[in-house]
Amino acid sequence: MVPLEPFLVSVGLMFVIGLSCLMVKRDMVRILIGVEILFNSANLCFIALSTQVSGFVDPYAHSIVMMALVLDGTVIAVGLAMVMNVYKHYKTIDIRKLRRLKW
Amino acid sequence: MSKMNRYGNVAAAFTIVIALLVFSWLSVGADFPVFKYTSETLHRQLVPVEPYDNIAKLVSRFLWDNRAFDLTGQAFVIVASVVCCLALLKLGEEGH
Amino acid sequence: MVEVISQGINLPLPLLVLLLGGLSSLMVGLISEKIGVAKLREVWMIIVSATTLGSVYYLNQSVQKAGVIVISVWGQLPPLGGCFEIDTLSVFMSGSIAVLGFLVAIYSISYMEKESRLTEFYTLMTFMMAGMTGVVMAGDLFTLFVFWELMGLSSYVLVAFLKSRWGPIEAGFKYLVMSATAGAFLILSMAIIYGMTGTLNFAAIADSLRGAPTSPWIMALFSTLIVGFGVKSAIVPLHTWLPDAHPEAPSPISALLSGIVIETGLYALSRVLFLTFDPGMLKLPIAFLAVLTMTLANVMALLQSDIKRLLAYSSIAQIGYMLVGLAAGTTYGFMGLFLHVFNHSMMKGMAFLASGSIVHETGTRDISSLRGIGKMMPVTSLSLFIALLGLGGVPGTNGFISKYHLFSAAFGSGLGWLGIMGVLNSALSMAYYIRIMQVLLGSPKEGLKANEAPIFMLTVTMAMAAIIVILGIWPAPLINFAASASHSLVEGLSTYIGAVLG
Repeated sequence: MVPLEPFLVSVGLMFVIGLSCLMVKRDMVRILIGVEILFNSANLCFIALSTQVSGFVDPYAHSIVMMALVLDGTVIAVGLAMVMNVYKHYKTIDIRKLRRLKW
Repeated sequence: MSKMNRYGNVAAAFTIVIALLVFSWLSVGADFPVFKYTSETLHRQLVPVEPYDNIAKLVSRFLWDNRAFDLTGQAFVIVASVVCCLALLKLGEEGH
Repeated sequence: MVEVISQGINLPLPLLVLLLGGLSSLMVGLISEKIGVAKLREVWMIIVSATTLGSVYYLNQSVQKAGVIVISVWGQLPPLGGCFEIDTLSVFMSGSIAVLGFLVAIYSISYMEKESRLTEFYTLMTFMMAGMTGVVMAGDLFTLFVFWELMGLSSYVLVAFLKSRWGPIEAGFKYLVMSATAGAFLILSMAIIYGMTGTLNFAAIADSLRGAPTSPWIMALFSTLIVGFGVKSAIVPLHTWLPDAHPEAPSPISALLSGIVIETGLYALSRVLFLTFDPGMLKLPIAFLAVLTMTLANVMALLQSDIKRLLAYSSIAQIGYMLVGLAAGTTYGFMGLFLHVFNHSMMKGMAFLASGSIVHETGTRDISSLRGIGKMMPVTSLSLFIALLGLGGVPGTNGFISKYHLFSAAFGSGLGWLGIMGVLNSALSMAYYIRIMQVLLGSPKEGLKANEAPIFMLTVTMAMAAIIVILGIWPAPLINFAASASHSLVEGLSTYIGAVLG
């Protein structure tokens, strides 16, 4: 049976890296990359848990991951289309300039 | 404006450190209850690990045999995302 | 009594109508550009939503006869395959979706007349309603996630629809990033549930994980579920996309978003929390979140000067009242929650539609410059007046009845302090509603000129005002329906489990 703790620690690390990339970076495309890292860490958690029966692999988790990958891809695609529209208006993709809607 | 940025960065760093501490305590300190709560009526289909290049074929057979409905729903999500990108990237008429 | 349908391809009827209607809206839009017949797309949208209403009625008949209906396709049975599991609560929620969607479709005939890309607008609105219907009928966590993403994807772009101004684009991007992060948290929570039970089916999870003792991983699961569903339902630390997104969206989409999309998030949260944990664990954390949501939203709403932004903060406060019902955890509490879901969709939907008419006619959203609009647009102002009375909880409107049930459920389940906080917040919220009413009834300034709104918009606002007043005076059928819905959630749990696991 594959030991589970290293996988869970790496899932947690990836999660924290994704969250910090999302919160700290100021380029919109990098923020979307941070969202993608978050999605990938959740998928890694599924795959890690599918190996826990010794000698076997559970195909249920693999099929869920395959479908979740497609769904995440569509969200990122729409996000990139929005970044193109933001560039048309603001002439920059710095998210700190997007503070006109406040309070 | 820069003061808000500084507070934002401090808050972000704080959240990240707290999240790291919580997650490392969770994964190393408390055991993950792996499959402890399966109910007895659940019969699962498992795939043997041994011929490694066979796993992909059996997983895709499982996917089409048991999850065909979610694949259909996914097709609708892809159609919706194509329509979304069309709506965002089409040039509207002048003045709008 | 259960009914399992699993041969061939079968979908619940409202979902089939909406999905096929969305695909055909695309084709109707393309055809209408070639032919040049005016308003073909709008007529097709009204046909699709009216058919949805009829099919919800028909589905209600079958569910009354059968109890719980389990639908899966091509003989792929749960718990290994995806399924739909329809009980009275699903029919109640999809009824709310269909009613509000039909009214908004009629409204947007005249509101969106002069916009471009109307094909995509109506297609995405149909897909958003289809996604919501799929969420309320799902019987499996991954099926719920697929339809959740369908609903979310359409709503990101509908918020950013009027892309020639900078406001909607900025609001849409913030909404997208926050909601996508919540989707990642949802997948993580599905991974933890899968790791503990080996399945993602609701009935199997309720059978195995429900009475488990509290351990650190169970609390981690609880937190990721609340973050994952809470962003879409606008619970307080995660609500910051809402005051930007709702004002900047076009008014019919604001009405749909505030009226039923955030409530679908709350439905998903309550269904999954109820099936995975036992209600005793839910009380204190959710009560704390409810108080935080209500108080912060009411305080922020007092400071607003933009009418749609004020209504958006008021939506967050109403979600706080609904969380009071979830914290109570009894059948009576859930009945108050779902009753308030329907009433809030009518009242807040109508408030957004009426203020959308006012904004459409005068071109400004600032409250102080709309003083005296009541004399120039009497019917719209009267409907807005009735909606605001309902939102504040004045007796005689349906808002009073649902708030009464919510707070008395809180008192009845030992959370007396929560009920008192709810009543105080309700009284506080009247303060900013009265401010809008004063503006409506004031005397006009010189530069303000407006005609009455076009006929479609007027008809819809008048019809919804009539529904609010009628349901306030004669609430009995709706209360019975909501009571049977919450009964099937709380006490019908064994029927729900037995339907799938046999």
